Amino acid sequence: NAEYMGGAGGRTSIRIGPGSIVCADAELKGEIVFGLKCFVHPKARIIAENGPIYIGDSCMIEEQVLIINQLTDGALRGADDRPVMSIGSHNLFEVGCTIKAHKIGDLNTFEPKCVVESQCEISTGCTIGALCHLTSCDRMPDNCVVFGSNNQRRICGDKPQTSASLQYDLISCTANKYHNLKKAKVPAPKPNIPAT
Amino acid sequence: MAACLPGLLRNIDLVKFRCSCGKLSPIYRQYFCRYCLSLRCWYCVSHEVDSYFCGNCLESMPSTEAKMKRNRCGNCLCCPICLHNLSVRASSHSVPNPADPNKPLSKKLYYLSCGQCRWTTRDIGMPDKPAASGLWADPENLHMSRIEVLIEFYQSLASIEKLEKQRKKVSARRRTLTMYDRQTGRRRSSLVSSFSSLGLSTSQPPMEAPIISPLSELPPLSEEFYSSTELSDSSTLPQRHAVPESQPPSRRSLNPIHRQLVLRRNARCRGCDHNLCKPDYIPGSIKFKIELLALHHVPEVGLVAPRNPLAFSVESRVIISISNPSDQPTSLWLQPLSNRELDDVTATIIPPDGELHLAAKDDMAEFEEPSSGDAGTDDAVVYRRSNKIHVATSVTPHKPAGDVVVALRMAYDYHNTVMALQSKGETAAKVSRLSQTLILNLGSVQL
Repeated sequence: NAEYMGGAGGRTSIRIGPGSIVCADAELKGEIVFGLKCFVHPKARIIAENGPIYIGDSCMIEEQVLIINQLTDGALRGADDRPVMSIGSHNLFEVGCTIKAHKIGDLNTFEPKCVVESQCEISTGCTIGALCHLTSCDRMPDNCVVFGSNNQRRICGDKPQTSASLQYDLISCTANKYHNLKKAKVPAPKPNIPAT
Repeated sequence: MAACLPGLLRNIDLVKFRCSCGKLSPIYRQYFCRYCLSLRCWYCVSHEVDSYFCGNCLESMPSTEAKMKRNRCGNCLCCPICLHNLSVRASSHSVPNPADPNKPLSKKLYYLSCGQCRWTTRDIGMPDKPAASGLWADPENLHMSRIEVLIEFYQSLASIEKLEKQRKKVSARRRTLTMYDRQTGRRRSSLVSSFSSLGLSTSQPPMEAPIISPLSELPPLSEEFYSSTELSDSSTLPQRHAVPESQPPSRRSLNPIHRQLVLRRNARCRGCDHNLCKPDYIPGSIKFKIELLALHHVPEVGLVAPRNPLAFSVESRVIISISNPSDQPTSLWLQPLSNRELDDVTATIIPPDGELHLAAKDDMAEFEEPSSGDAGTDDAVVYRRSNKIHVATSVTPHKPAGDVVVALRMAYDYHNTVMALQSKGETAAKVSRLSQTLILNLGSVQL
């Protein structure tokens, strides 16, 4: 695991797993742990205010996304008894979404400008539509799609899948040319580019 | 220091023009008839159907074809859950190869999927089709035969009524003809032959009304209604009403819906019957064949300052901007309107006296270096740039609460190019002095 201690505050501790790429323009504060092959776009903001944020593998966090841990009490507790915000793998956080949920599972898609509040727990394969607000749900059922101006829900029949890993393959090659990246000590594994 | 144009307050309801019918509306929503030289708003324009088109595939069709297709597009399908467009997705399946059983062929099969709610045709059990378009058949309408019988019956009734009307007309004519005859004192037996030459047939016996006999006893309600209702499985009322022919109670019977066509309309002046607005033939084009918008013919008036609310009974300096839409320089006069003429006015405005000159609109002006924004020759003009001027007025609200509403009359020279084209030999456009009534809403009074 590459470790990067930085920030003037001293409490910022970010652990970036092998293969994960974090752009230097992204704002990361507090204790954040990334898994493998994540990509954090510039201008994303991940703020672990009240407690640490653990992010799983292959998560794609696009521009202007705000992931903030403002939990006052949570089931999971971290090392010094601070509530933990845990995010699973293969999640796609599209542009401009605001995530405060305390627990997010795998294979979810958060479309642009959606807002997920802290009481929510998102399971597997959900799609939160663009500009949808999830303010007071306890636990979203699996494979649920939230859409429309009234935040309508329906259970989707398809298998859950996201393009997060596909996007990672495409962007990891070119990111170096166009963005300043936070340097990791361990080099990234070679991504498989699908033959087209 | 770059000269930046002070921004207009772009609230669309700030400045309203009084149309020839008396209603107030913003200039952006009005048309201008060059023949009657008057403003026409949405309500004093007759709307005609130009054509129909599909919002998705932009296929245009005339009214008759749209009527045949029941105002639906033949190609485009919508999701029955959220009425969003359905897009075709491909999935490859391996099919046993008849030639070589060891190597299965991969065949592409297509299904429809909604981008918004992730509904697919697989949710209703529709099998994937081998072709991307054309095989998405609609389910049969169970009531179609009954509807056809009813339509036939009512059509025959209508034709019988039409014949009756014609016969009444002819008999009325016949009566007047015999009266004329009485005056001359002669009877014309050829009348009867002329009557029969009209070719009226004797009335056909009317078809029997297709009545359904009522049931004497109904089957009892099944137990399902009391015990098992899966709310997630039942369709909502809007979803049912979108498919009025079947109105399925279950989501599993909701089939893709054909997309409704959208109307394109012509606007025609009610005074002189000329076309004011006619869109282009291609639905995807934003150009117009005929576009007589008020914005292109009437000077646009906007509010520049102040941005803060005005104080009661305090004379405040209000700057309004006027821009000349034509390619000829114009002169403008502003006069206040007395309160007696309009009820809503809650403030008095003292506009500048005298003639205001406005330069012609120059399309190349935005590409050139901005010329000096000086005031020019008129005294009241605060700022001038190409065809726009900013004019200072003083406004005194005389109601302590509510909106500050002022009324102005604007007289300007309008260069009419229509009449010049019509009369041969004359190249100069006819200049007419037009005047419009403006109502400006300057926001609420400062409390």
